[in-house]
Amino acid sequence: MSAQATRLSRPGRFWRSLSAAGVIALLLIASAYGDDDDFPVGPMVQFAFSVPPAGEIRSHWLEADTTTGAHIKLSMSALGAGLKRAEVEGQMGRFVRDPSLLQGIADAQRRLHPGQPAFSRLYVIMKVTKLDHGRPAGDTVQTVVTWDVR
Amino acid sequence: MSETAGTAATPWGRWWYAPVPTARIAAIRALVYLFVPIDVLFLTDSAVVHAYLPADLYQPVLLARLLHIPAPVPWAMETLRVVLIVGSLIAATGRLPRLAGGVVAVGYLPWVLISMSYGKVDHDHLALVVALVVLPTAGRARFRDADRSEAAGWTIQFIRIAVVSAYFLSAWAKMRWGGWGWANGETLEWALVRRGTPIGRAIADQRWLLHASQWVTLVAEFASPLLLFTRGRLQLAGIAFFLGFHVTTYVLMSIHFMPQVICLVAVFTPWERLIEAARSRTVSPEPVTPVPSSDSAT
Repeated sequence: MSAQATRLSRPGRFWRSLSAAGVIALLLIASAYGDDDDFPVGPMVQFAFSVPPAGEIRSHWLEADTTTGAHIKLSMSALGAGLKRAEVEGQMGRFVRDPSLLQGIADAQRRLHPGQPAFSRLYVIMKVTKLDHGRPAGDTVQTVVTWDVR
Repeated sequence: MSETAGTAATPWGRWWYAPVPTARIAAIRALVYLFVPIDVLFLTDSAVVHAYLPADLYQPVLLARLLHIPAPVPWAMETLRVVLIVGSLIAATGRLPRLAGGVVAVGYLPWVLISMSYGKVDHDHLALVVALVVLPTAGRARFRDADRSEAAGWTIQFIRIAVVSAYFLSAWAKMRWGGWGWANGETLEWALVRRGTPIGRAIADQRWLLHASQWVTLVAEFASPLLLFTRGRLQLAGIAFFLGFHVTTYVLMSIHFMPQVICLVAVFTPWERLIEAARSRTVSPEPVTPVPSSDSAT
């Protein structure tokens, strides 16, 4: 095995070492002090929270009345509503403070799916599952926000 | 120049710059760059869908604000997607590694930043972002190369660090926000109630199993840096564990972590040996001619 090893020049090695050290430092600093805003080096916060055995599990999604009179649950992927479920939840506080933001979802749906019935009313629904000794012990479902589409 | 002359005197230098066969870079490029079209068409396609939303739903992350990336518009995102697909298909062949690879790296950054700027950041893209940035620096690489290079070594170690960071830092985050009680909490129950598959919901009642899984996850994530310092069967066992982990989370709650899985497989597989094995099988068909036995002749 007489494979030739191509070496790096001193500058080539220098900037490689520097950028590697820099990225590792950013990753560590972001994990210690940062949050999701620091993407792509931000902390890996997926499932990084503790749910107590007597806690509750919340999930949110969007529902809509359509112009044909149907009531539908919107897809959890971005293609249905323009926002994924996790994104709806990420902006929940804003929807509660300013329901008119939901108008944008209705507008996007019209542009994305011109062939489908348009939305006449949008609902943000929240389901709360109560836990008892770590096991689900009953759900409540409520409407958090409604918006009459213009 | 002898091969030992290529290794630096310090442990840092030896670890980062040990020469690696450039054929491995060719294989990693093929895998990672062929994955990019899949990613922009099916996984981060929300970047295009988002462009149809009004700008007030755009909540740019820090880097997007620093780069002054505006709220996306459909034609721009569709164009960027075409550029990314064409660029990555060229880069996957090993042609124009710096130009095509550079275009993909520069184009993918705003793409993925926009995809993550609508209220949710996904944590499976760190290694892919790092891979796209560093792969062009390894220069030319072909499947038939017999050469080794320090640049290839550095490139692969950097992506390996990103892959391992995604595991290790998620254990760190669990301690930072969940505390030591995380493993005995109901986080997995939370995930199964919210997005469990039928199989996932079927085991949601087995509280001891969920707690045990949380302990295994936490220990494995904290131990993940061992992947960087082990080799052979031990390392293989580690890789197999994490692949199994991803299969399990997919089966139980359809969380796939594909970009992370692709990078994991790409940088921990000794591709040059597989290429060598495949070639010796196809190149030398002659030794398989059967020898006629003497007693059955005539």
